[in-house]
Amino acid sequence: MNRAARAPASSRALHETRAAHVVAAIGVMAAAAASTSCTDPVYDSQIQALGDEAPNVPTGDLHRPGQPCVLCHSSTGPASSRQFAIAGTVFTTLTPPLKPEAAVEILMVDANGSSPKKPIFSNAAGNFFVDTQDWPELAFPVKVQIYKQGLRRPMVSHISREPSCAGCHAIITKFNRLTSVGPVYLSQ
Amino acid sequence: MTTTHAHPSGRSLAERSTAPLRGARAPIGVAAIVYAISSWACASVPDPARFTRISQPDATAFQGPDNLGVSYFLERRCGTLDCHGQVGRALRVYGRDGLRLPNDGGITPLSGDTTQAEIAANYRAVVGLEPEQMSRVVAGGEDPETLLLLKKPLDIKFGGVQHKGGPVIASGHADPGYECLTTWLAGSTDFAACQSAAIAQER
Repeated sequence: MNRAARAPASSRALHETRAAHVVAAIGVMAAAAASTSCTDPVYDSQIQALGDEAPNVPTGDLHRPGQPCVLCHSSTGPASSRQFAIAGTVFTTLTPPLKPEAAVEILMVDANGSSPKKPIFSNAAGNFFVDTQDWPELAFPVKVQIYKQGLRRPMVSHISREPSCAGCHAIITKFNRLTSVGPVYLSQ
Repeated sequence: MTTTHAHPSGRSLAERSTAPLRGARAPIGVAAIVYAISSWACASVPDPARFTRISQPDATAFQGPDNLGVSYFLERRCGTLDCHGQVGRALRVYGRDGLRLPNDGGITPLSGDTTQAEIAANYRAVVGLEPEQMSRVVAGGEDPETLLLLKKPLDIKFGGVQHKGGPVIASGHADPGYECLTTWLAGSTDFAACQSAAIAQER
């Protein structure tokens, strides 16, 4: 009699516990799915770290000099409507105050000896870019030289695979002094 | 006035809710004790004289005369800031033109030659990749192409494997970089090959 009367109570408690576990598991799975289904948080944070557009500079060829262009201008980036094979900025000096160096020709040759289909020059902001359709067969590593008015400056090493020049040529701070060679520059 | 409803079993709510657990604890406890006794009984007494011999390639040759050895080749060919010149890499390569070891001397990329400490760090990174397999290659004469150090940079058509940086040793066994690494592993480093492989990147 005692055993028969006790069974429904413990069974009900067990069912309630199981139900709670199932609800909790579904909750955890839903949270995990929600957090992973959107985007790469590391990538997102890199883009977010670039900050807002500079005031009075419209989005376009002259915007965001010195930033890692291909972070956004890639197939997975927010500016995927215009994708770059390689892009960067040329300044007049290595250290601030940084001023753009315009009309610098960027000479590049890849592992197979190919180059962009058309000449690449820096613009008024110092920015230069190779649209992916202008170098579809690009194969790293890439050797680079910059040239202007008889002054030629070859890059010391090669580009192994980073399409944004600013990925390695970031403006030097106390935080990256061991990992950045500083901006691309051409002194007259 | 407080009314207490007695359960037909005559046991309190706390007793009833823990009853199934108490039933499950007993076998787990017994199993744990048996496991502890059996694992203790099987363990041998540690032998202080026993050790695993690890043979590694020559660190001096890695540095090479005038710092133009294996490290120089790796710095030039692999250690760019966008590849193995990054702190997150297992094969982390320091060097004059790339990543610099933390220092108090104000040494930054492109300033000053590669330091002794950086070459030593590069050596540790290389031999630490697969220490046991490298030991088999160095001491046991196993094929050096079993090492990731060679498989990764070697072009796939020459027996290499997928490498995000592409085929660094692109011309296979005729590549001076291949010659540099294999002769170093064999104990007779071809320094001319190492320099040739490094300079090839400076064209």
